[in-house]
Amino acid sequence: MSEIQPITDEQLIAQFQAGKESAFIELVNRYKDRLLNFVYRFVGDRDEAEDIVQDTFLKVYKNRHAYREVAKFSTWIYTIAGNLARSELRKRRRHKTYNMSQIGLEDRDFDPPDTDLGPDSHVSFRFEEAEIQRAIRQLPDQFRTIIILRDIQELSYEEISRILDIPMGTVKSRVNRARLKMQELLKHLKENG
Amino acid sequence: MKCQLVLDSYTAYTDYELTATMRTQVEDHLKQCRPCREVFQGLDSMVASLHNMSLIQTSLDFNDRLLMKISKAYLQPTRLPWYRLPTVKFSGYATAAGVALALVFSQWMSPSSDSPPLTPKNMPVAEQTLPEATNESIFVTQDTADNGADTLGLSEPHTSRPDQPLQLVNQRP
Repeated sequence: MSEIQPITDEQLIAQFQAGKESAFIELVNRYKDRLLNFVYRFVGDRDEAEDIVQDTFLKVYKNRHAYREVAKFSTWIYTIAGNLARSELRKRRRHKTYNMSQIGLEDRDFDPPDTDLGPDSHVSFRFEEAEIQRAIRQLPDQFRTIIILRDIQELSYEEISRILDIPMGTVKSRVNRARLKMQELLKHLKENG
Repeated sequence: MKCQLVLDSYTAYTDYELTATMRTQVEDHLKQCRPCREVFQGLDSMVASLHNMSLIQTSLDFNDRLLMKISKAYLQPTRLPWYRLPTVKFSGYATAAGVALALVFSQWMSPSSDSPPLTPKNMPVAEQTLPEATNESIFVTQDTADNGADTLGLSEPHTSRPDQPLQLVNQRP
């Protein structure tokens, strides 16, 4: 007996383009949490991240006919979410001028998400996570995206290559450079308390 | 092997993508170079921390809010010009109906100049009979009225010849 193949994202968007609204809901359910974590690491604010993810789906809904199956659906939706997150950051930068000392102060507002760890480990884990989040936000755009996709969301190189539309070799070398840069930032943050 | 080349190989080393020769060279370098060893250890710990970062979930009402936004933005009916709005459209009919009713009532209520006002006494006979007019009232003639038969009711209109007696239903003893 042949196994039932799960319906692909590309099949779902095709159904949605044909007018089946339930296919859109299925895509929302598949991507909402992945996108939330991706955007959250960009902007550092949960509510804002959720708004951006909602806007991403609104754009998908509105521009569904703009999608062509030359690219993977994941590439398309991550690109939309990434662009919205970046434009949100640009908007913020217009309002605030950052320098290294200000970043440290401002980022103390970062609210790490709840975890199910015990009370002791909870405190230390939170501290470390806040520190990492701060370092992520200081990374240049292209490094930040790749760190989030590879090390937090644990996507394969192939998938990242499709999402970012860059060759796999570039993905691998960029991951390495991003990690080295991130370690440098973490060291700097530790030294400055 | 130079330090920079070793550091550039970190990801390929941890992914087991280096050739056997390269891998040995990196490991030999790490044994001798303390700063590179520390960087590798630091990277291992950082990557592990990144893998362990908590993942968050969308709020429970995420889909509802999204669908609300969609229906607000894209599924609203197009706005009608003011003269086609339902309130305006039907107000004409309502006004016409109101005017017609007002006319009817004014005709009925207003006394005519050449006739006395309506009172129970001078009201026409037809309007005094409250029960609905039936054939009985037509066929109950003076004869039957005298016998009180009008109150009993007839089974059918009396079409028989005048010399035949009227057929009564529910005759009283």
